[in-house]
Amino acid sequence: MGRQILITDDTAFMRMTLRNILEKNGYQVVGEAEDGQVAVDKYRELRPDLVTMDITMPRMDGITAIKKIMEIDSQAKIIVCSAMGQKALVIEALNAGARDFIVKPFQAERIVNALQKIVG
Amino acid sequence: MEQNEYRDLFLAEAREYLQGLNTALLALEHNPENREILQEMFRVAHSLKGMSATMGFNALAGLTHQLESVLDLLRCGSLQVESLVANVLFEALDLLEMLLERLDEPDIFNSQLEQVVCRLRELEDQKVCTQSAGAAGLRLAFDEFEKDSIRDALAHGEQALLVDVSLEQTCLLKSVRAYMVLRALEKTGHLIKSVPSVQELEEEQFKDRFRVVLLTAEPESSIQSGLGQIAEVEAVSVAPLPVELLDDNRNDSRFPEAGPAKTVDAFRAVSETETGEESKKGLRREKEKTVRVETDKLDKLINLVGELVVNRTSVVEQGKSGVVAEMSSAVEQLDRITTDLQSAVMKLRMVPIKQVFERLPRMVRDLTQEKGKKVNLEVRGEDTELDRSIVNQIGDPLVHLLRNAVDHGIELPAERVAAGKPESATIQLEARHEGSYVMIRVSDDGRGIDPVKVRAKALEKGMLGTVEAQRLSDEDAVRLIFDNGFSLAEQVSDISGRGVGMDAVRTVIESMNGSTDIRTAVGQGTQFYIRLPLTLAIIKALLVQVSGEIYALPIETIRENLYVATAEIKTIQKGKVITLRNEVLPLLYLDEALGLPPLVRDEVLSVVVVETSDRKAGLVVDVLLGQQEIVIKSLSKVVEGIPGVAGATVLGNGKVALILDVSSLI
Repeated sequence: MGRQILITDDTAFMRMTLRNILEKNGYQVVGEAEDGQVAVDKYRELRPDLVTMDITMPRMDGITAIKKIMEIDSQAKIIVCSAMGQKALVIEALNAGARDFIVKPFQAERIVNALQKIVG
Repeated sequence: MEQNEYRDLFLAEAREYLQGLNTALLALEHNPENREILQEMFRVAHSLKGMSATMGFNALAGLTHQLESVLDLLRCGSLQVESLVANVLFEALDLLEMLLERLDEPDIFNSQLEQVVCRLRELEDQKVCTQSAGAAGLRLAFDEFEKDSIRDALAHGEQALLVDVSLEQTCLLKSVRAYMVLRALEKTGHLIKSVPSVQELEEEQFKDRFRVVLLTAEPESSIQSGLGQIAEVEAVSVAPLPVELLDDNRNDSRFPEAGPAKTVDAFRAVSETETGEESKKGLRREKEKTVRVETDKLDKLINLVGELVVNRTSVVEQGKSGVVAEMSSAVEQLDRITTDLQSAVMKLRMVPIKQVFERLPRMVRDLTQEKGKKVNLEVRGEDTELDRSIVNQIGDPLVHLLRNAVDHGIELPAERVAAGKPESATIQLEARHEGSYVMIRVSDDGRGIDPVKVRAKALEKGMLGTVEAQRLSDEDAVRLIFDNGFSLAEQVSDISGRGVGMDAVRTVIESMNGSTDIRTAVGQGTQFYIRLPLTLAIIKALLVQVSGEIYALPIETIRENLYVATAEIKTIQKGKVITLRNEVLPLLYLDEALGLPPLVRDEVLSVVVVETSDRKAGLVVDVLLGQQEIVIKSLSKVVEGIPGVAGATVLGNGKVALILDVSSLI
């Protein structure tokens, strides 16, 4: 069975894109979250192998969510999804515990590459 | 990637984002210092750019990118929000909208695109400090302090390693990649040097290679494999630092001192200043939890439920007749559930009027700017829900009313000051529920409409005689502006302040079973009222029988029901009339009007008094059957447009009844 992934992004479009890429590459998307708070709740419930985390989201941003998830599980594996020009935020996310980052617009092989290095 | 499957979702979301940007920009204009709004706009533009690029809509992505750059400058405070800037941004938003509408032929906008991008660039160039290309070589050079550190480490059994890292050429956000490498290395030892400098790495002023000198106790192999874990790192080579480098090396001024402690701190400092602001962002945007459904599917569902409701009625009727005793409680249950289901489904049709209201501030802004007026638009009750089809149609009338208010109602600032009013006028747009209706009010504090002038104009246009004009109350006189003839009179605006196309407004509203009204006071302002039913799919109707057929009359049009003795009926100019409370009421025999065979009439006739905005009449029917909620079904194209018929409905017994269109009957 494929590794279980939780997708976090505030745009439904991006979630769909990401889900499609992941599922085509044999990962199992177990949940989608539209903001940080939902991501934290779903992490607690689903305990996925890996979380993809958008940074700028309403309600709770990705960085806060990373910190909360790391509090729940210090071994949590989180990949930050950022856009160009969010350098400082990506660094903050890495400092908060994210393992890696991918940059939008998403390219399938890059995402798969990053995921493989972390969860195989 | 197969794009078509995402296209609808992309479009819907992109439109939403654009609307959000428009609204935010308007708010920003009023409140240029509000960084939260800017932050939010930046975030939205950012999302839009990402989406467009992923879909391969390059024109969209490119334009959004420029927009974002300008927003970024505004956000950092290096550019101020002035009306010039706002205008350029609005232009960009307009163009984005056009591009969205014609996604497949972006080329037709090439010249506009060029223009707008150019203007955005101009804004950007006003402030951006040019970034040096920074073609740093990878030559290592140490200062005395660094050499001391290296010697010291070697003396303590650590080794000095030269780590060469090259990133994949396609790597994005290289600086962050580099940061990940440096961070991983920091965990194993001390970084004392990097080429290019940490600062240059941080500013992304390197191609895709950099080298670092690390003092560590760990073996080369573990460092090598550690770095291999990082994505998008193409190659890593770790080797002991050649000792020659420590000798004989002059200070190279190209490489400013980059002590080990600074490595991480420099990054951290940046991240903190920038993100302090960012982390607060976007939390305010209210996100409804929604699922997007095609409207066609929704309509089908609603239609099916409508039929279910109709069927329920006949089942319930039969259940009550008590053929089987146990059935009655089951039927009751069925009755309750269907009623709940119906009301739940009807709610699906309801959308907040916000969808329409959102577009209006922008229009008012543009118009006030154009007319040199000052207007403050207050919008209230945006969350009021209305039937989707009503919301779709209410836009034009509202635009019309607001245009009139700005154009004719509101005085020029100087005129207002002279009249002792605040320089800036207020226009209020409000929606609220009133029973099963929604009331929309558009009010301004402008010059109002002078009934004397309206009367004069109406006389001139031959719409009424002198006596009539005198008898008309002021309120009724003002209502004349809704009349067809009045509106057609061009240039009414300069005498009355209003009047262009008001009949069009009234027609649209009445076609939705709504009504309009106006109140005005000279010098104080004007209020327009629009009353609309919550839904068009279900109406309350009075069922009547005419020559054996059943017809439905919308309850809104009915004033009262009467029984009239044939003796009371008089004939005036071949028309039958009755006198009702000193008012002459024309009678209309529905059987004749509908071309049905007449019945033998009793001594006493059943009359339904109906009223539209300008006419009143009594409809003679055979039997009044009672009031009922009916589900409106539209007629097929074949029988569409029959005068006097607005639609049809299916009754509980499965029979079809036509819904009469009163305004075209009388």
